[in-house]
Amino acid sequence: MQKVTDNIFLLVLFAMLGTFILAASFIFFFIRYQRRIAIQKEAMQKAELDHSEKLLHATLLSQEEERKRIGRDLHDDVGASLSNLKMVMAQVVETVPGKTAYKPLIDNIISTVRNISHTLSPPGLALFGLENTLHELFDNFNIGGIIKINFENELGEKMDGLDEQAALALYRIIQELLANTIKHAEARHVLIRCFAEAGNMIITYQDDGKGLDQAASKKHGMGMQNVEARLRMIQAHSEMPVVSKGFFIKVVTAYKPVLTK
Amino acid sequence: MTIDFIGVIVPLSILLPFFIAIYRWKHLPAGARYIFLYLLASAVINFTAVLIGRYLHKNNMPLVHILTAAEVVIFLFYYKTIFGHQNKLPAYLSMAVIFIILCIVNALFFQSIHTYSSYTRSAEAIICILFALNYFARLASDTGNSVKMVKQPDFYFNAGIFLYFSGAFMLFIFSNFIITTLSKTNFMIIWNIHGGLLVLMYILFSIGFIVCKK
Repeated sequence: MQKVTDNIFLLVLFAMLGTFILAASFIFFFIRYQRRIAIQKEAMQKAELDHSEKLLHATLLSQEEERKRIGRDLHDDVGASLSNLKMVMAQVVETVPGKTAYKPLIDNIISTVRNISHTLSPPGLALFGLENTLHELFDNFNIGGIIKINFENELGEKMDGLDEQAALALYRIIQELLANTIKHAEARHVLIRCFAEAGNMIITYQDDGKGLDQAASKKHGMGMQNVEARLRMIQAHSEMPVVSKGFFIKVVTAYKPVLTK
Repeated sequence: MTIDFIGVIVPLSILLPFFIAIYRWKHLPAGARYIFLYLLASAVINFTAVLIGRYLHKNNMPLVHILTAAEVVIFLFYYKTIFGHQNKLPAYLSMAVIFIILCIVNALFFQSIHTYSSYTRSAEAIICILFALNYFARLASDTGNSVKMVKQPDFYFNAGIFLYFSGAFMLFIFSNFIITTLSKTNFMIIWNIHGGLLVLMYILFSIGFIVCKK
C-alpha cells in the first residue's frame, strides 16, 4: 500500500481556512441579499406613497374644479335668475302699492346664494389676488362679532404673485384653520401674519382659544389632515410648536418668486 | 519584545465584550445576557485553565470537558430566548440534559478527561452552526426586520458564533490528532489561528452589545 505523505499541518490549515471562508462568504452574501431586499422594499414603499400622494392631489384638484363649477353655476345661473325674479316681482307688485315684503326675502336669498358661491370658489383669487380675497374671507368671519381676526401682511402686494394653485391652497388652509378655531377653540382673537424669512414665505396663525391636542389631532382630525395634504401639494410644510395658550401654526412655503416680484 | 498572542492577547480580548456588556447592562435584552453568561463562563474556565496549565503545570483538559457542556447549555437557552420558544422549555431542557449525558459518557468511556474532548467539541460546533443558520433563515424570511438587520445585536452574536465555530470546526475534529503529529511550531500556528477566530467572535459580540437597545 502506498504511504500517505500529505502534510497534516497544511490539511488542517486549509480545512480551517476553507470552512471559515465558506462561513464568511455566506454572511457576506446574506448581508448583500438582505440589503438589496431592503432597498427594493423601500423603493416600493416610496412608489406607493408617491402614488397615494398623487391620488390625493388629483382628488383635491378635482374637488376644487367641482367647487368652482358649482360656485359659478350658483352665481351665474341661480343668482341671475333670482335677480330677474326680483325685477319681475317689482313689475308685478307695482300695481299693488305697499306690498314690498318680498324684497328683503329675495335679497336675502340672493345674498345667501352669493355667499355660498363665494365660499365654494373665491372669485377674487384670480382677479384680485390672495390678500384681497383673504380680507373678504376675514370680513365674512368678522360679521358675527364672535371672533376678531387681525391680519398683518408684511409682504404687501408681493403676496398676490403666487400662482393660482398655491394661492388657493393657502386660502383653503386659512379657511380650514378659521373654521376649526370657531368650531372647537372658543377663541376671541385670531392673529394671522405673513412675512418673509430666509427667502421663504411664512404664514403664522395664532388664536387665544383652548389649544389643540396634537396627538389626537394627528390621528383623527380630518381638517388638519386636509391642511397637511394641501401643504404637501404646494411643497410647503408646517410647524406646530407648543404654546402656553391657544393654537399656533407656522406655514413655510418655498415660493420664492413671490418675494422677487 | 513580542507579546504572546495566544497566552495574553486572546485571553484578555474577552474583557472587551465583557466590560461593554457590564457597562450597557440595562440595555441588554434577555438573549444578550445569555451571551454575557457565555463570556463569563468562558473567562472563568479559560483563566483557570491558564493558571493550572502555565503556573501549576498540570493537565487542564478536564476544564475543556466542563466548558463544552456549559457552553452548549448556555447557547441552547440563548436560542430558546431569541427564537421566542418560551413554551418549548422541555424540548430545550431535554437537549441540554442529553448533551450533558453525552459529555459524561464521552469522558468516561471514549475520551479521557485528560485529553481534548474533540467529539463533544465537534458536536458543539455542529449544534451552534445549525442554530446560527436557523437564525439567519428566520432573519431572511422576516422581511419586516431586514431594513434594520445591522442594528440587531443577535445578528452580530450569530455572525460571531457562526464564523468561530465554522472556522474552528476542523481544528476540533483533528485536535487530538495534531497534538501528537505536528511540530510545536505548526501546532502553535494552528492554535494562533484559532485565537484569531476567538478575537473575531469577541469583537462581533462587542458590536452586538453596543447596538443593544432594550
